This record gives sequence, structure tokens and C-alpha cells, in this order.
Amino acid sequence: MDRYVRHLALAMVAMFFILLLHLTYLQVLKAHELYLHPLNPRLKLVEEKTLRGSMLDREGKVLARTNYSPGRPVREYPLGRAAAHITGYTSPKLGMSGLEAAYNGELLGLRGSLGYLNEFRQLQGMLRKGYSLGLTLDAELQRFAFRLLEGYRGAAVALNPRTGEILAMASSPSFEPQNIEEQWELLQDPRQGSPLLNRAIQGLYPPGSTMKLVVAIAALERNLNIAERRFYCPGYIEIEGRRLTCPRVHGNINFREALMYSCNVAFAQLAMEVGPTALKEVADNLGFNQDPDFDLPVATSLAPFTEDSDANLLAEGAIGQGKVLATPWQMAMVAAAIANEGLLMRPFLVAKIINDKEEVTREVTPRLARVVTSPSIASIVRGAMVSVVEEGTGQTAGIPGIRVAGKTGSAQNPQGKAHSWFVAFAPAENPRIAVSVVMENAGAGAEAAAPVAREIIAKALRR
Amino acid sequence: MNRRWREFTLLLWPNLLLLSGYFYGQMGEGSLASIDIGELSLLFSSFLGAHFILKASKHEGDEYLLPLAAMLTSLGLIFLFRLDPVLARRQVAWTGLGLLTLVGVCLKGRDYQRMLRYPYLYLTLGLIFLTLTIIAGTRIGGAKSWIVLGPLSLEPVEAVKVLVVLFLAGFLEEKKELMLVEPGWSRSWGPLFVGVGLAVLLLVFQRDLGSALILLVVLLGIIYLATGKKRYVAAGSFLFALGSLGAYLIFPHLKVRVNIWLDPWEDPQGAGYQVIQGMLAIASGGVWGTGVGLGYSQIIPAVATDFIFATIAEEMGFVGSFGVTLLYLLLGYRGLRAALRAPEEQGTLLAAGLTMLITFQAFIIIAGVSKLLPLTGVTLPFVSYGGSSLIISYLILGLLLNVSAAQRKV
Repeated sequence: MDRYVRHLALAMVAMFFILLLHLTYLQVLKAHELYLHPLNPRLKLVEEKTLRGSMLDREGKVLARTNYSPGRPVREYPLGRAAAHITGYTSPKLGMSGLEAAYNGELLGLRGSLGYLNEFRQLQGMLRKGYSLGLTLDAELQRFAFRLLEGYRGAAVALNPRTGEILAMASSPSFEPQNIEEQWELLQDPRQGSPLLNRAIQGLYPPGSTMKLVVAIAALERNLNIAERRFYCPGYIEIEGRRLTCPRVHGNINFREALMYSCNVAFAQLAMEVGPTALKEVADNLGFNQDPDFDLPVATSLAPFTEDSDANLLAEGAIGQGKVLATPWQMAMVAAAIANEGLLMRPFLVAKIINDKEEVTREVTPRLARVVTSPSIASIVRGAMVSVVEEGTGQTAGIPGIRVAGKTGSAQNPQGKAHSWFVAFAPAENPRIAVSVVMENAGAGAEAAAPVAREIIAKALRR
Repeated sequence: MNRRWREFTLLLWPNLLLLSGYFYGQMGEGSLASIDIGELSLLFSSFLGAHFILKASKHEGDEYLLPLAAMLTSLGLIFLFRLDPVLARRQVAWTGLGLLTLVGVCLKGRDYQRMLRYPYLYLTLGLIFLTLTIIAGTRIGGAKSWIVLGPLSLEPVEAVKVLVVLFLAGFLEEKKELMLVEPGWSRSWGPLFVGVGLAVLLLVFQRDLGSALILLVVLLGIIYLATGKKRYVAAGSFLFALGSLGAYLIFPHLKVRVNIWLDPWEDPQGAGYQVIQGMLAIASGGVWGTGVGLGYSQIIPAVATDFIFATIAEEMGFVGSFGVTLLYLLLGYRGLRAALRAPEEQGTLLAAGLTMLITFQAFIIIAGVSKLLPLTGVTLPFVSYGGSSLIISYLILGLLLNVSAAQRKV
């Protein structure tokens, strides 16, 4: 029987060993992350003893700060509704959103060396101080972009394609972040159009014809001579019994013209020639189907092509319909990758973490995310995109004196008029800004989104 | 002589712990409820009193058991005072009663073999307790396992666990040979399964899933010890798995429990609240803890009973939770050592069964509050608030002391 007692002892030791491993995981490895969880009520206690850090734009303009009006700390957001989805709100009752939530640990000064200093301050009964965030955002451009969208449901994302710095990211409708508790009931009303939703990163839309840029890259990757190829568009294409139509008969056209006039027939053909695997590879490289790495939570854009995808799914996907879905953020990445000679930079919004003595303790440097394609392919697509704005479907985005490269999109959807899309970058020969705009049910790309993109680009380049 | 002297020196540690708790409370200048001088001296004298009675009666029991239990109880008291001084004062009284029980068992029941001669008596008693709870029981916090007598709430299930172990130890010792040689149903396996199966069934009806799980594991453990047949354990585990699957499909509350375990974040303010807040409290302690009284675990439901480990882990950190876990492991080690050295098989079965009872209960509640396993509401032995639990724990300790005293002279 002794042997069996020993077996029992062994089982007991094994059980407790697992338990200790689990406790190590919880209390040592995962402790900080769980401590900073928004549901942890301890953070509210810390908050009461902390001067929460500020948020500043790229030139140091205040986007969020805590002020003491008669004894009581008040969180102020000078840009108000225009940047509400970026700053987010913070409320003891309703929790947090945006950067307030994503960088709560930094803003409360719980991380890094300030964390220790704050423990010391608290012991002495002094006020704790949080880190401030230096953003890549351009407050002027942000306000401007939001004004352009006001009255519509939609979003706009603008970034520097060379570095990945997000310059503006607006979503409409919006909310006033300061008095969130008073507006809460109203914001939940379905007629308000979900103002709390950050459409720029959480809105998934069919990307419409802007998806043709992805197909173009994939086709050129497979065969560079595609650029010289001629297509014949009779106004429709018959695929396994289903008819995909073009808005008009394009007749005999070349690759550049196919993009310029946004010919569905040509791109459906190209997508089927390229095949699902190669198409998905390019889409994946651009960030589709991946959990995006960003300062705020971004919904995953979908390009679900698999080896056994049927021809219809492929053809529909090529023109951004069917099962393909993308966030405005994702389509801005597509434009940025083409603008930056095929190199996709990691996008970022928070550039600096600044301590209470105004010293920068952490600085984010631009980093390459993916090599999407070669400079020569990027330049062919860019040339076609310039034609789109100069002579094609995107002429409403033209700016005198600046060569703009763009692509329109009109996404069919069950809710009514098409969603209006436009992605662009400029100046074409030396891009300094890449933009993506979506406006829900606002019609064709050229009608609504292209002029908005034009205004944003013009404003950014004039500065 | 040497043995009891070691026990005495070891007992100084829990007393030191209580003393530091007292001074800590004094330092807070009344802002922190803590042990006062009366309770402190009562606890001192109870622990040392138990020790001196053992010494005077020349008890040869294991010298580590009492100090380990005293350490756990003292630790529990310090956190109970911080959580709820009213409960803590009652717990001081329960500790005294628990130690009296221990002394009683040690003095009167040293001949445990005589006790084990009436297995069916224990089984009947256990089943009566359970039936009584089902008929006259009150539901407190999910499980209908309480009998309320005026100001007193008793939890008979705590006693049932011990009674079942007593039954198993007596029964298997008697019937073991028969079971191995001619495994007939009517005389050997039948009564065993009927008896224990009934107990488990009653517990399931009471919704006390934690106790049902403990009983089953202890049953399988003891059968393995008695027969040495792995296939019995395998068959038992299989039946158990089948039974849990059935229970999962039949009982909605069990389904809810498991779903909460799988994804507490689905309803963080409702069903998942307790588990999430327990886990956040444990994690917030980090490595070194916040210090006694500086945590924020008081918002967790049942924090003084089932979830006291969350408070300990938060305020003493990983160091503290590691230490508490080790204390149970040491207790288990000394218990199984007593089982190994018992002069005959009855003693081995009894000591091993009781040791499993304590350590497995500690394991599943610590695992439950830290979300390693689904939560089943049982107490943390010696630590959680609860009169029935504490007294029965000290009773078990007394029985273990008796088995260890009878060890083979080597």
C-alpha cells in the first residue's frame, strides 16, 4: 500500500505545481496587464489621486487635459467632437474609450519609472502625475476633416505615407467627449447613427472599386506585361451563369484605362487570371485578414479568398463587393503603400510619451511594416491613379498645380444609395499625404468622397 | 519530549503573526480594525493550551500539523479583521471551539481503530444529515446546504465529508479482500457505490457541486489505495466524466457555472463579476502585494468565505499566495507521511483520506478563485470564515494527529 500512498503524494504535488504555475502567470507575468484592465475598480482609486496626463498634437496643441476648476478635476477636450473618437472619453460611471482607454496606464503614470516615483509621491500624500502623450495628429487638419464630414455618416483617414504618422482620422457623427454622461441616453438613440462608433477604424464597408488597386498590384506582380495588355469590355461579363455589368461599354481599353474608367469587366478577368491565392497574398501583405497592430483597436478587414473560392466570389471581390470588407483605415494603408514605392510603414498615432518634467521618455520611430510590392509596380499603379484624377472617374479630386493620384469607389449596399469611396495620395511624384474617405449612402465616389479628399489634401499640402 | 518541544517553537510563528497584526492595527490609530488585546490573548492561550494538553497527555502525534494549521488560521484571522471585524471576532470564538474539538479528539479517540468499527453508523449518520439539509435546509448563496437554528447557521455537509471518509476507511478495510477475490456486487461494491453515490446525488440536488466533487475524488483516491487497481480509478473517472456531462446537460445552474468559467467577460457586471473581480484582485497584488488593508477586494461577493484567497493574494502578493499554497502542500506532506507510517491499513486509509479532503478542498477553491477551474463554492480550510468548516477542519487535524501518534516505531 505504501507505493499507492506515494502515487497519491505525487498526484498532490503535481496538482499544486500546476496551481503555483498558474499563480505565477496571474501575479507575475500577467499582473500588470490585468491590473490595467478597464474593469479593475482599483484604477478609479488611483485616478482620484492622479493628475491625469495630457494629449498633445504634433505641434504641441492640447487635445485633452485635466484642469482644476474649483477643487474638482475636469477633463477638457479643446477639439471637442472633431477628435472625440481619438481622444475618447473617460467617466467614472461609463468607463473609457479611445486613447484614454488604450493608454490609461501611461496617462495614470502607472508604467515605467514614473510608476515608481508615483508610489513614492502617494506615500508622501502628494498628487500622482501621469505621462502625457504626444500624437502624430495635426489638430488643424483633424478639425478641418471633421467639418467636411459633418452632416454625413462617414470617416476620413490621412497619414504620411513615408513614415506612417496618422495626420487626421475623423469619424462622423461624433459626440462631445467632455459631458459624456449627460449625452449618454441620446447617443444610444438609433436615429443618431451610432456616434460612439469610430467608423475610421471600426467601420467595415465593402470597399467598392478602390479594391481594384489590390487586384492591379496582384496582376502586375504575376506578370509585369499586363501593363501593356489590351482588354475588351462589351459592358458585361458572364461568369458561371451570373452577369457582372459595367456602367457603360468601355470597348477596347488598355490597363491604365481600365483603372481610369474603373472597368469591372477588365478587373474581374484579371482577378480570375491571378487566382485566389496570389490575390489573397497581396491583400494579406496590405493588412487584410490580419489583426492590425495600431494604437487603437482596428477591426480586421476581410478579403476571404481561398483556393476553392468560386469564380463569382473572386470577380465580386475584385470590385470590392460580396464578401470583401474594409475599414477606411485599411484602404488608407493601400494608398500609402502605393505612394511609398510599395513599402508599407507601420501606422502610428502616439509618437511620444512625455513625463511630468516635459522630457520625452519614449519616442516611436517610423518602422517598415511590410514590403508589399516593388517600386516599379507601385509606379505603374501610381501612373494609372494619376490618370484617374486627370482624365478618369476621379476628376473632382483634381487640384490645380498638384498632381493627385486617386481611385474612386461606389460600394453597392442594401441600405440605399452607394457608399462613396475615395483613396488618394499627393503630390504623385513625391507623396506627402495619403488619404482615404468613405461617406455612407452618398452616391458615387466622384460625387461626395473625392471632393472631401481633395480638400483634405489641399489643406495639408498648403501648410 | 523533543517532538512536542519542536511543536512549541513552531507555534511561536503563528503567534508572532497575530502579534504583528495587533501592532499593525495599533499603528493605524483606529483607522484599521484589528485584533484587540483580549482576542490576542485568547488565541495565544488556545494555541499554546492545545499544545500543552497534548504534551501533558504524552501524545505522540506529528509535531508539524498543529503549527501549520495555526499558521493558516492566524493568517485568515488577520485578513478577516481587515475585511469584517464582526465576523473576525466570531471566528476567534470558532477557533477556540475548533481547538477544543481537536483536544477532545486527541484525548478520547486515540484508539481510532475502535472508531472505525462502525462504518455503517457513519454512513447512516451522513445520509441523515444530508436528507435533513434537503428537507429543512436554507439556501444561502446558491447552495442549499445550511440549517438555520436561531442565530446559528450550520453547514452539515462539512461533517458529512468526514463521515464518508470514516465509512470508507472502515468499510474497505473490512471488505477489501472480498472485493479483490470475488468482486460480487451484493456484499462489497454494491453498498459502497450505493452509499457514496447517494451522498453525491444528494449533494448535487443541494447544488453543492464543490463538496460533491471533493467526495468523488476522495472516494476514488481511497479505492485506489485499498485495491491498488488503476482500472478502478480509470473506471471511476470515466463514470465521473459521464456523470458530469449528464449533469452539465441537465442542470442549468451547472451550465451557467461552466460558461462563466469559459468566458466571464461576456457579462462582466453580472454573472462573471465575482470571478473577474477575484482574478483582478489576485493579479493586482503583483509580486509583493499591496500590504494588509490596502487592497480593494472587499467588493467581491463572499470574500470572507470562499474568496478569502483573493484578499490574501492581493495584499501579500505572489509571495504570500505562494506561501499559503506551500502551507497546504506541507500539511498534505505531513498527512501522507502519517498515512505511510500508520501501523495498519485502516490508519493509512483514514489518514490519506482526511489529508486528501483538506488538500483537495484547498486546491479546488484556490483554483476556482484564480479561474484555473470552474468556481465551486467551498471554503478554504482553516482560513475562510465559517464555524462548521473551521471546527471540522480541526477535528480532521485531531484524527490525523491520532493516526500519526500510532506510527510504527522505527
